[in-house]
Parts: sequence; C-alpha cells; structure tokens
Amino acid sequence: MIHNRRWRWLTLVVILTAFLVGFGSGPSSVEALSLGGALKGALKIFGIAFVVKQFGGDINSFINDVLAQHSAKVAGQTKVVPIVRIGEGGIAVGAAQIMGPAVQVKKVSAVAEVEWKPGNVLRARGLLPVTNVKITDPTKIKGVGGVGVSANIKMPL
Amino acid sequence: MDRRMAVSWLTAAAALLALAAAAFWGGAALRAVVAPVGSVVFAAEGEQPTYPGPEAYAEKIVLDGQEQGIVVLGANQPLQIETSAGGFTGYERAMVVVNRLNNGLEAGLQAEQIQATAYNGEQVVTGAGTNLITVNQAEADIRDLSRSQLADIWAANLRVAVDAAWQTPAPDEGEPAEEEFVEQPPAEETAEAEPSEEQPPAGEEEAEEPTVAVEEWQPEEPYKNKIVAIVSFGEGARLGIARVNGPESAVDRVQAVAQLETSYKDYVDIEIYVPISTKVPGRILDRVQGVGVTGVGDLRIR
Repeated sequence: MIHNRRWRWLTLVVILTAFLVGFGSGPSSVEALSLGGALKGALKIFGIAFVVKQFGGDINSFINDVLAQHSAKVAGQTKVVPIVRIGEGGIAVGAAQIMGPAVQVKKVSAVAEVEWKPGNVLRARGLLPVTNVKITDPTKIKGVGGVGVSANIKMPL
Repeated sequence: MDRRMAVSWLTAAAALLALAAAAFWGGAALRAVVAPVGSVVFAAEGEQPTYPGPEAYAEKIVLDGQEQGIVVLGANQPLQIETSAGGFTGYERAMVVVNRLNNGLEAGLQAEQIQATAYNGEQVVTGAGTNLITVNQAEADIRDLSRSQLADIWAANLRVAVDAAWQTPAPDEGEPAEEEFVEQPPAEETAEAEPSEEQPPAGEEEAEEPTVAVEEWQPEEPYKNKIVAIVSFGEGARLGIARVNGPESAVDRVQAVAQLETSYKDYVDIEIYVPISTKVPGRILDRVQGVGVTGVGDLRIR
C-alpha cells in the first residue's frame, strides 16, 4: 500500500510543500539576530570554506568590533580566511582572521597549518598565511610576508 | 483495520512527517544561506559614491547587571538597545546593527533608504531593503510605545545619523587609519639584498619552515620572530606560547599575547590574539601594532 502510486505522489507533494514553506518563511527578521542557526546549518551542509565565504565579512567585523571595545583595534587590514591543514588537499579545518599591510593581506587566501608535536608534550601549530588554498605539495607553499594571524575561529562540525 | 495495518499506517505517517520536517528545515536553511538577512545586498555595484564618513560603533553600558548597547555614528547615537533578544544581549544586538550599518554605508546606503516596515509580523527597520534591526516587544514596552512607533523613531534617528554621516569626512584622528598601511611602499623591485624578513634572531626563536618561499615584499624594516607567552585576558592565566612576527622594533616591544575569548552567534568560538607590551594584560590592552601571530603551542597535561 505504501508503495503505490498515490502514496508516492502524496509524499512528493508533502515534501515539496514543506520545502517551499521552509524556504518561503526562512529566517524571520528576528533571526537576523540569531544567524547562529543558519550558520550551523550552512556549516553542516556546505562546510567551513563556504561559511567563511558567506559569513567571513561579518565575522571579521565582529572581531574588529570586539577589539575596538578593548581599544585594541588592528591598524592594518584584516580578513577572515580558512585554515587548511597541509597534506589534506585543501580541506578547511577552521578559520582565522589575518592582519597586515593591505597589499599583503589581499594576496592571502588561506592559512596553512603545520602541526608539530615534539616529545608528545608540546603541541605546536605553525600558522602560515598562504596564497593558495590547495596545498598539495608542502615544498611549494608560498608564504605571504608581513601577514600574521590575529584570531583563531573554531568552527564546530 | 487490523493491528498490523494500523502499525503500517502509523509508520508511514511518521516517515512522511519526518521527511516533511527535513524538507522544511532544508528549505529554511537554504534560504538563510542563499539570502542571508544580515549580509548586505545593497545592489548598485560600482556606481555608488564612496562613503566618506565615520564608521559606526557600539558602546557597551551595563545597568543592573544587564548589558545594553548604544549605536554611535559620528556625533549621533541613533539607537540604544536595552533588551536581549534571540539570545543576544542589548550590546551584542547593537554590534550586529553596527556591522550591518557599516556594510550598508560602505555599499552606499542613503538616509532616505531607511524605513520602518512590517515584515513577517515583525516591526523592522530596513536600509535599502535589508534588515538593520527588529523591534522586539520588550524594547517597545520599556518605552511605553508600540513596536511600530518605536520602529518609526529608530528609523528617523537612523536617517538623521546616516544623513549627517554622509556629510562628515572620516576622522583622521585616533588610531591610524587602515589606509595608512596601504600607502606603505611595497618596493617590490628594489630587492636591495636586505637580509631576510624572516631571519630568526638568536635565543628563543624557532627555526623551521625551511621549505617556505616567502613572496617578494620588502617591509620598511626587517621582520623577525619571537616566542612569548599567551595570557588570558581577564584572569592573566598562562594558556600557552605564541610565535609572533613583525617589524623588529615592534616585536622587541611585545611581552606577551593576550587572548580574548568570544563567540559569534553563540556557535563559533573565537580566540583573538593581541600582542601586547606588558606581561599581563591590563584593563586596557596596550596592543603592539604591526605584529601578528604565526604559531601557537601548548603543553599537554597528561
């Protein structure tokens, strides 16, 4: 009975309607204040790189506002880019706000992360602003001088 | 209808309901991503005049233990947000408004584009069709106003502030403008064999990244690295170590990296690193400008 044609149509119609209603109602204007839900959804569906692209500007401004409240604003350009772990084919594992001279910041498209665990006691992470997101060959990493990381943005997956 | 049949019907209905819920959620999530309310879509690419005025910012005040936020734009304070909504304090809401306002101004938002309007049963203030703030009931109640009245007042205040901001040139004072950095000549061709931006000085620095080819860019002063402690802002507890990098004279001044922790939309945790000239962060952070973090480390406690 469940597999008959009528059921299939009903299922299709219900799903389509629910989808359209969901899309139509979307986040109400109040949720403009709680984009957390959207952020969470986007993160789960599309991943960190997409979220950084969509929300990077907002996150960047948010961090700068927090810094301004502590009179510690960065005197230089800032932007948010994904952190990619070397050797994992450009998969973003987090995000970072970078800072530096505008000409240099413009060149950065990701921060490469190199992990180093000497003696299993210390865990160090090198964070290197790079021009290319896809780091397949660690010997060809192009570091961007003058740019440093000013915030580590942890994206829970 | 026998029992088996009933179970079958119930299972089918539950499955359908679950599918419908998933579809609804998927649709809502897609809309949020495709047309995020907060991100600015102030059309008109290219042609809008460059905004010459000051940036908006939020001021925090705490009254009876409650965080409130004032939106400041130039000499005007168009909004004071006193109540929490959507899990955000008044101050955090003010920061969201500031962010949208600044994005809007940058995209050419004009005073006459700011309106109070009803949307999805809510009273909102929009700028060029994008939501700037939603007027919640509590906010209206404490002023003995209706939500639409408050939306009108806020919209009018914002129009005045935005109008004035467009007439006001950006302030030169205060912290060095971001463009000042842009002006610094990259001097890309004049490779006058200045030894190494990344040369590790003796002592506490790491020697690593042998494979990294640093792009041609010549700073005014050689860069160097240094290892300093990461200290939490507030408690002053040591959280680990950081490698900082920047112009020699600036790096010499760095004594520690203050770590501020905050979260964005109650979902994304952010650790902000501020290189400071003191060993322990004070109430005001003495940031050493031009220095960034290029590595962090922590001791594993076993």
